[in-house]
Amino acid sequence: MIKTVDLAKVYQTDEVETTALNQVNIEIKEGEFVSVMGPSGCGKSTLLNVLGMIDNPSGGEYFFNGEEVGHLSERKRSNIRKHNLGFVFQSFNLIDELTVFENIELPMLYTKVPASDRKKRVEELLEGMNIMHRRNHFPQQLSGGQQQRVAVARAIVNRPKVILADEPTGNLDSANGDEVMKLLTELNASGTTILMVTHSQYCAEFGNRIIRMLDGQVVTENVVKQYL
Amino acid sequence: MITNYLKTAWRSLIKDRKYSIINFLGLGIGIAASILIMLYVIHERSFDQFHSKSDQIHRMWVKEHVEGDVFFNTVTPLIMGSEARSNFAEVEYMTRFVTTNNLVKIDVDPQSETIAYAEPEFFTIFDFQIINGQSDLTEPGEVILSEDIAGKYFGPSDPIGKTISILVNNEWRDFQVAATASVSSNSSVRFDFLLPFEIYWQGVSAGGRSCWTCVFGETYVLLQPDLDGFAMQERSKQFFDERVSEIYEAGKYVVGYQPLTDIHLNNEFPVGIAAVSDSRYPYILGGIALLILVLAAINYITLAIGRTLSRSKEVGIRKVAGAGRMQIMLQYWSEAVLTTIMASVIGLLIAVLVLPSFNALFDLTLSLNYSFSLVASLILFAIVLGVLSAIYPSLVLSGFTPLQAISGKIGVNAASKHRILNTLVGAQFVISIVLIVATLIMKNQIDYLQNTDLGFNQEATLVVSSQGGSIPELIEKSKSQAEIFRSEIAAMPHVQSVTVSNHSFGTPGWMRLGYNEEESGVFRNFMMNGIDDYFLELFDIDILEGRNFFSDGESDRNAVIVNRHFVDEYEIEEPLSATLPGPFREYRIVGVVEDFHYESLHEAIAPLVLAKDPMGLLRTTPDLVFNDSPLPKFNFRLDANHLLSAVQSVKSLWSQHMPDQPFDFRFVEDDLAQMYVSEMRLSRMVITGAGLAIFIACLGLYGITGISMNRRKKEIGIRKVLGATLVNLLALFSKDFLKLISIAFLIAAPLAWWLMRQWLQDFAYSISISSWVFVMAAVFALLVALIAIGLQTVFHGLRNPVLTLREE
Repeated sequence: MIKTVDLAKVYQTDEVETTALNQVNIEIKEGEFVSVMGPSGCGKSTLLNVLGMIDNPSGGEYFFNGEEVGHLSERKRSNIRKHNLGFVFQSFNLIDELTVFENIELPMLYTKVPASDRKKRVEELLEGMNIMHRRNHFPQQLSGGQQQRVAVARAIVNRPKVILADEPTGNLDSANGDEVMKLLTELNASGTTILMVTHSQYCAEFGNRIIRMLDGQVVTENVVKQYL
Repeated sequence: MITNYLKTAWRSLIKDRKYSIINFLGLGIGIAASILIMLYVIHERSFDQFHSKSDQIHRMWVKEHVEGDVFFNTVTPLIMGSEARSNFAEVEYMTRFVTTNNLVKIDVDPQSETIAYAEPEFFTIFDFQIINGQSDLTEPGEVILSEDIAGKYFGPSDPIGKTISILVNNEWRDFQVAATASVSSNSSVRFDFLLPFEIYWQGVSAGGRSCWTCVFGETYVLLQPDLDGFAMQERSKQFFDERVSEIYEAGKYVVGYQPLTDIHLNNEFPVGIAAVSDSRYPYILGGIALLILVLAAINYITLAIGRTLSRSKEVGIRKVAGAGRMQIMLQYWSEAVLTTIMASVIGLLIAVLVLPSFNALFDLTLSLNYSFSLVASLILFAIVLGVLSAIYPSLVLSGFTPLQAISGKIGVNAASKHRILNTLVGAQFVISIVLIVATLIMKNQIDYLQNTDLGFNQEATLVVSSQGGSIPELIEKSKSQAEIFRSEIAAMPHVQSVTVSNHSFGTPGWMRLGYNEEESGVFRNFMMNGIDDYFLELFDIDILEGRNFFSDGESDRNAVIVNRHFVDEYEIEEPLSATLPGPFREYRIVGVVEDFHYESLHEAIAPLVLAKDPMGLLRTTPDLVFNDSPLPKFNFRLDANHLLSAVQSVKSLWSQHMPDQPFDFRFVEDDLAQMYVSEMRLSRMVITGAGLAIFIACLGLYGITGISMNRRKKEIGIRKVLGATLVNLLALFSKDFLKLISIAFLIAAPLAWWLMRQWLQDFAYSISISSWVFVMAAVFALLVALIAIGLQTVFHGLRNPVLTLREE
């Protein structure tokens, strides 16, 4: 589903050049749950951003579903993104001005899902995440765990093929963190491919495979458990 | 989708209340100004449009070319209209329209009123609505009243069939009210009392009736459809050349036709009977409204750009969720349009509240009609304003990559954004400084107009005009009446003296006598006023040479006093042994007075002759022009400290001796102020505009400083921990803005200087533009900017730095 060949990302600021990704070659198959680990600044978030098509690579190739997407225009990438990818961030990234319901509904507005379907799908997710009673609340009125559940609900509402999660438990206590990891595991079990960046070994082990990075390069790949 | 945009927009407006208030207030004021000014412009442009054949109606004019001078008149000879009507099929209908000031009485007290005379075709040409009764202006004993005047004289009772006495042609005549008519406020042709033209015609001499060089009233014609005034002018050219061939060479007497709808705002034509407006006002007011709107729109743009950081996360999330650039732009446009629509509602409310003051300030009677077209145009206006204001901010916001936006790393093009922000804030200050300079210069010029020494004493002088008779008769009568007044005034403690003259001060124009110089044939003219031997003393006019008139009746019949300018212009070496030039040689100069401003300071002082026997000069002059009626006026000098009782004394004196004459008095000081009413109105407009402009610019500056400080709150915290005081912080944050205001000043100063020089050229006497005006404007702009920045500095500077750093 995801394949990179010598993927590179270099940041140029004034006279300083920083290599964030260097010759990264990975392959993620449909249905996998892959964790990416490494110290701060190793390039794991950059890798997630490039694979999530919210950043473009400086070199190499990136194949998504067999199509080279690394050098597409923002318009085309946006189109692939909205139909195939869902994002979960460490800082939740909910829109403060929208309610829980409206935040979850948002991706469907851009994929032109009819209003009645949108309502049905959001309500199903709210029910499933046990936050129905919070549907008309604003993000700042929710706990961190609830906000992240909303973020997960928003990530999956368009039924994406892949979920990209960047430190999804980073801002949560262990109980809430566990709940989010459980959610992701359930999603993976239902067939969604998951790529998660984390600092936590505990969280990483929820995945089938752990990719370790250092200085922009993949150093090891460990299979934790065989995915089905 | 649009619901989502609007919901987000609404919640964002609520969340950022401070910025929303700045936008609503600025845009609301701008929109209120635009609504009021649009009402004014619509009213001005609607003049005379209500007549169904307004495009066919024309006013005749005449231009006489005499020895290099051009005498242009919209008040025309009586013969002109009748000749055009009977010789050209193109002239379908014609009416002459003349006005006179007459005495009117119903019971006992006569009042002075303006009486209009028109021909039967008047109501075929114009569509004045007859409210009550009927009349076709053919019955000589009938009068038509305007609704207002019918109310004034008859109250709510039906005036039809009632009798009014009017002094016409020196004879009291009774007229029966035959009809009342509605005279719209946007009509150039206006009347209160309308009599058949025949009444006026009876009082005109045979010479006057057929005179091609004497002007009496306006002539209106209804031309055939699709025939314009220029075409008609060409068709009638040869005809009029032939009719005046004994007096003028071909082409020297030009008769033309001005469209009725052109009269009100075309200041290139001389003023006739029809009221005209200053055609510059709609442009000046429109310009000020536009500037205010631009300032408010700049606030919107700068605040929107300033807040890109706080809005970028939302943009990032939307982009990650699949939004395209156009969808982000549409969202910001919706937000801007929502803002401008709400600002329009606020603007409409402000306009409703301010309308009475606006009317009072600019002497108008405008009203707001809540029609569908008003609401529709307001919404359309708000949409256009919103879309225009949001073009740049939406381009900036939608242009970030999703990663830049979501991570808040949007500083890559900060330098260019900074330049744009600076340019916009700078433009606001350029506009504000130009308006402040204009305000100061206008105020100085108006102070100069009001306080400059006019060369005569204008204080506490009450003027009453005598009426109801021929000029020679009234002059003689007034002079002997003044003698009686003088003897009685001696016993009145608060009335000091009285003098009689054909003209007083603060009038639209004294008599101008013209003649052709024998040797050169050049046309020359001088001003003239008929006075008595008390005039110079009452008005404190200095005699430079010679003497005042003798007080006996006969010895100075042929004596005149001239002003210094007369002596200079005619290069008279020994004025006291000289006579007047041209046909006036029998008049000898007995005195020379210092120049004084008998006209407004728009006009340069011209040669002036003061005559004890003005009738002699009037009978001699081949050419006479006057804008102020030469009917004799009584000028009473009162005690300024006891004005009220002095006026009462003069009133009782007047009613005792002149019971048949109305006591319609005015003060010279008021009339002089009235001469500059146009400038005062203009200055009020600019002062209001400047005030609003600087207020809106400062609102914007306050907002943008707040955003900048919010972004730099970590820096403020660190500086405070390291010992920075509020003054240090004020200096830090004001430095850039002060630099900006200095640059704005350098651009605004020459612009303002040039604009105001153009304005001052309208005056023959004006102030010179001094540099302190610019210094004051700069200091004022700096001061208000420092207040705006200072308020934000205090707000942010007083916060606990530990809290700020923890937030970061």
